[in-house]
Amino acid sequence: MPRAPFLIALALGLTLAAPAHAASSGGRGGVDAEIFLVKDKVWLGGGFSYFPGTFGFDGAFSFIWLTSDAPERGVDGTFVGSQLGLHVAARLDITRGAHVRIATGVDAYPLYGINADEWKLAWPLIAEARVFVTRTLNVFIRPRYYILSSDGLEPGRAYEGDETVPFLVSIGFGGEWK
Amino acid sequence: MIRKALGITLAALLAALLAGCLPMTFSHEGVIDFEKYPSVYVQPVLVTGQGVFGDGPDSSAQSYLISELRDASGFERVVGEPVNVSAVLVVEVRIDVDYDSQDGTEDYPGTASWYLRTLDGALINEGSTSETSNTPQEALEDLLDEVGHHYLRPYRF
Repeated sequence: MPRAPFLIALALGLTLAAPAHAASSGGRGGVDAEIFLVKDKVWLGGGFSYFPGTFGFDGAFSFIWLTSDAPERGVDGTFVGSQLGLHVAARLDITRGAHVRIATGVDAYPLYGINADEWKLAWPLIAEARVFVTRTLNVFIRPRYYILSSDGLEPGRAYEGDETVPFLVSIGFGGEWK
Repeated sequence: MIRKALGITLAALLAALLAGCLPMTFSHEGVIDFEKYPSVYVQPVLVTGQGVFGDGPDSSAQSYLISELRDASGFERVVGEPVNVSAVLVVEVRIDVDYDSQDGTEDYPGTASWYLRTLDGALINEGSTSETSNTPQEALEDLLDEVGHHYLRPYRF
């Protein structure tokens, strides 16, 4: 846990290269801060995106902790690992101030808080709605569905086994530059 | 107009989601029943191949594997002596050497096979893995890490 602020700063800092590149090449680049709305977990991180045109790509890196009262078995401490996402995406402008994105790619979960060799993988389908509150600042909501995933990676399933809707949802804010 | 509608929709969704986050569970079932086999004796690791000096049982590799299993596995007790245990872990490692004459470098491809048996010899579980590393010691440790990971303790959160 003491390493967390440094790791978050590193992840967010690494994304700062994207808008500079976008500005010099005519595409649209952006950076985001993101919080995943998941029960009994604190899950947050940052990401970047770059769209030369309608199609582009995005990447994201986040860290996952358990809350102190989360039900768990076989976990030492509260930090469990990360999510690393790399996606290709299509962007559709609805108005000058809002757009939607559809993306797919890979979500990797290195669970190094459990064991250095423990990974899970998923093939996501991501939909995103983004609304600009100023010319560059925006807010977004990003639900994702896993088409395929490793055993033991279960969005929508509670610790006790109860199932709800199988989506992983995150919200956040970002900046975008042309 | 569309922007306003989108904004209202977004705000409503956010309010609904913040009111009740969705669950997501990560879990791993152990490869064996650790309640049935809570303790294990790790035999000295048999290390062979062109990449190592002298074939035979390696007690330092045994110690390394015991440490890995104590750290990550589902066994309650991991020991280097066959006393009061419910299972025996036999690990065999082979490390060879590949010399690249063009750039003068060496790689050390290795394989590990392991067998978990009851005290009377019945097979409980087995596995194998392969890795290529830059040094023999790195190859050995990477292979033993894989053995430890194979017996990762069950988790759910």
